[in-house]
Amino acid sequence: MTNKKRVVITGIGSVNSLGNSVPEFWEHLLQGKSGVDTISKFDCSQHRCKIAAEVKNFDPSLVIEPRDIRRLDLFTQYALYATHEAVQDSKINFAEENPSRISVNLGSGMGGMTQVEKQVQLARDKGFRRVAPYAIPSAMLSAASSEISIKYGLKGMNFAASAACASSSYAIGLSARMIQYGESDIVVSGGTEAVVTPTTIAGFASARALSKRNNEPQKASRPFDSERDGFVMGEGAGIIILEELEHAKKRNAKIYAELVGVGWGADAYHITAPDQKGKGAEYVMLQAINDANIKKEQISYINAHGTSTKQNDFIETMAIKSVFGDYAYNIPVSSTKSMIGHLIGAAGGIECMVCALSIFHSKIHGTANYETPDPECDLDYVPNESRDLEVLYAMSNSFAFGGSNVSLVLGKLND
Amino acid sequence: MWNIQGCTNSESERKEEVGYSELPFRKANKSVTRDEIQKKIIHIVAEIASFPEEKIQGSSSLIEDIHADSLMTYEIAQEIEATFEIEIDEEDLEKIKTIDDATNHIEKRIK
Repeated sequence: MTNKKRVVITGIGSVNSLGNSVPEFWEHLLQGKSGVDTISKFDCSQHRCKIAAEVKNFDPSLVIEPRDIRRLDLFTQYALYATHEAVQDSKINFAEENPSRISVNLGSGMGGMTQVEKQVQLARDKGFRRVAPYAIPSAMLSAASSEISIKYGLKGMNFAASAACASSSYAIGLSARMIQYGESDIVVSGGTEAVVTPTTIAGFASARALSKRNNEPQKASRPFDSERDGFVMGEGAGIIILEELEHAKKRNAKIYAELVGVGWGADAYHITAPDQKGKGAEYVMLQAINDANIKKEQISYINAHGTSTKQNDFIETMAIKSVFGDYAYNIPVSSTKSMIGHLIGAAGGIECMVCALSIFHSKIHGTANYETPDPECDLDYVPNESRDLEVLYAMSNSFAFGGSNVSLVLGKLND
Repeated sequence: MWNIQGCTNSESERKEEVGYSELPFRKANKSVTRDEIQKKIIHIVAEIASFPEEKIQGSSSLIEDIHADSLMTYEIAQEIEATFEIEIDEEDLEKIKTIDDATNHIEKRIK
């Protein structure tokens, strides 16, 4: 469309295994710390995979009323907690805004799995009459976005985007379109996920997607390294406040970055394996660059999907080389998942936030645990150390189970 | 039962999770008095509504004083059903507005 409105990021908030606030998370990312450890949330002795990047010292009562904590699934608690930080960061005063012009659109791959598992067990043990009245409104995928809409009185669109590991990238892309199209001035977007639960971990492990490096948790997530053996489950939320540029300028908002390009599509190949030639990934990267209306050589940094599975990292590398040709070797590519694991439906939200922070602070984080090069993965993966780098345009990739792919391009704001 | 942050169930279930189970209220309290029933109901309401127990009285209204919504009312009813081993009809449930209403209902049902 012509004359589309411009979209900027004016607030960010996060909870994840490296910190319960963005400054803490960013500092630990730049230091190359790992949030992975042995699972503490349940007895994992029977599980193939015994490690995860769990959120630590999470105190929801700082943000949520005690009577609500007991009925809200953890994925909604993470979302409310991170939204509180993002809203404070943005300095938006909702009382001065038209509530119908503010929307909420969050990604989540699986919704309230904690609640689902708990209620199924309760029903089996105590009978179906004991299933909690809040079981459904707590477990539904749109629970998190709805609780945010209700808490802040936001009356624009309220919905959840779900596309497995690409959920929050889809949410952010759709939210950007809502602003570009003039439907909303502000969208609370990003994603949330809390699937460190017994059955979900077992399910991912049975699909042989998870690392089994149980004796070295902090070394388990090693994207692009030749010794990688699967991803590590992460959890948390990454909330992004997207705002129409003129609206943001009018209130003198702090602007982290502009969201300039969205590319999306599907492999149409297999429910878990990526297209073996990386065609789906290649297509969305090209489309995002095209949507941003820039030359591909203007991309300064790629935040990879980089899961640490054999297939993803090799095929993502192949696709990056197909898109950028020889120029691919000039672009630093790093994986946030090397430190916080894979947050499934929240991954894209956090990784988009990381791109915005890289643009804002002119720093990129490294890929942790990169020790043994893989001949099939031969790009600059920013091994282990963060770098100072002026990032003009950053690309964030998300490639999901189901073959859903999204690539976002963020840019430094220029007038 | 596995214990996980963000998914707190009723008190009786949590007790099982930490390794001991409570005898059903009726079996443990053969000659239960009205006061004991009311005390137990107040405890359940306080727990579910995260409301100070000492501020709940017989005349307290679930909706106006405790600020329970419909879902919370159902949850309280289910916990009372499990505790006193009864089933409350929907019609009876609609008539229960206060702690005293609930106490009267239980007293009638279990004696």
